[in-house]
Parts: sequence; structure tokens; C-alpha cells
Amino acid sequence: MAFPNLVPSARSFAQGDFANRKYTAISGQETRIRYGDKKYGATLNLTYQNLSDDQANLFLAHYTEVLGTFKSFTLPAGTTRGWSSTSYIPNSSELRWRYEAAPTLTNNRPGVSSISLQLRGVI
Amino acid sequence: MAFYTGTDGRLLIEGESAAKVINWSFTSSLQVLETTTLSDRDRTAVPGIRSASGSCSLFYYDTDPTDTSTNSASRLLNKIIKAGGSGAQGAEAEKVRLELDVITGALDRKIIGDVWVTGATLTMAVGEVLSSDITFEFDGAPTNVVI
Repeated sequence: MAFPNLVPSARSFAQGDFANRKYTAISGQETRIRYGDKKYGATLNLTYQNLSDDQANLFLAHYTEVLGTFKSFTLPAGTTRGWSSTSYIPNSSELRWRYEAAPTLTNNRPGVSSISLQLRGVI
Repeated sequence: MAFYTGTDGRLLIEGESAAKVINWSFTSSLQVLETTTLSDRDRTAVPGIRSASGSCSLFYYDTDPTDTSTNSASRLLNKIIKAGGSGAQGAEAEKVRLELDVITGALDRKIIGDVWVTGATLTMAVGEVLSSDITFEFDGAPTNVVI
């Protein structure tokens, strides 16, 4: 199954960085060497508030299907809806995602749950 | 068509009509859980916890001055005010069944439920009759509502 195509109620994104290494001479002069042309280590935290239990279960099932933090996957358009600067997230041919940790589910009341996800970009 | 006024109001405490009630009020509220997402312009929500509460004011009036159980205000005050005595803890507060009535003559309107008295004020002042203001919260949903 694909990642649920639901719009989050909160989203935080960090781009990651280009692979590079810093060399510092005894004089203090600093030299940096870049090793890649793609950013790595992007993080995306998604929060979905007050979903129905069925919707929240989709995330739990997806986590199981991709074997937890093992497999990578692509994200549907719903995860970035409401953000006009999605070009900062490379397309799926360049960047995939995997779970950084297991989804955290909070039962708010009977039939209503919130879930928060931590994802990490994989190039 | 009919309007209803204070003359149509009644308050029952554990099934017995309370004496000298000045007023009662009832409030029901619903907490909503927000489901607004990042692409929305208008707030959306699903129903959360509902609660009911109210208040009433009574004159401190004894039908029989030798028996405090005949004083309606006293009956409510004693649900929350408990003496401890010589450093001991006071007894637990008690739940009480209230019935808020509108006597219409045809179909009586009523709200019945078990409530906790959450606040009690007894006011004595020069030139005024001793009276008591009571606030209460329902324990769960009202058991009977015809309104």
C-alpha cells in the first residue's frame, strides 16, 4: 500500500546538507571539499490531528508494510498540500523517504486519534 | 403559542420540589477537536467532549426551623460543605439529583441529572434576605431531557 494521501495539520521540513568535509590548517585557514551534488539528511515531520481511527490505522499499516524503518517510499501530493514551495523537496526520482521512528499514535477520544510521523530523506 | 416566565419554573432536589428558588440556569457545551489541515482556509472540527452545568439561587428558607432537611438551600450546601472536626479530613462531597422544570401545563419541559455541587455561596447582608448561590456540573449526560 502507498503512503496515505492525507493532508497533515502540521508539517516541519529541514533540507539537509551537501556532503562536504572541512579541513582546517594550523594557521586556522579553513578549506571545504564538497563530495556530492545532492543534499542528504532531509527530515520531514508530519502531524495529523483528530483523524478517524480508520485513517490513523492506514499509517500504522504502512509502517508495517515498509518494514518499519527498513524500506524507503515516495510521498503523495497530500503531504505537501498547502505549501507553495514544494520544489525544495526533490521529486521522487531523487529523494525517497523512510521512517526515522515508529509513528506515535494518540487516542484523543473514542474513534478519534492523532498521529505524528518522523521521516528522513533517502537519496 | 406561549411564553414561559419565572412562575413556570421549578427546581426539584432529589425528587422533592425546592422551596423559595430565585432562579436556575442550565448550560450545555461541546468541546470540538480541530481537524483543520494545512491547505484549509476554514476551520473544521469533529465533536469532542460534551458537558453540562448550571446554577441556581435559593433563599435560605426553613419550612420547619427545627429540621434543616426542610431547607432546600441547606440540602444543596450540605452536599459540598463537610466539616472535618479536630484536624480530620471532611467527608467526601455528595452527588445530588436535580430536576430543572418548566411547567407548561401540557408537556412539561425538564432536564434531570446527577450533579456535583461545584460552588456554594451563602450571602448575609444588612437589608437583604439570606440567600445562597449554587453552581453545579452534571456527572455524565442528563438522564432525562424534554426541552
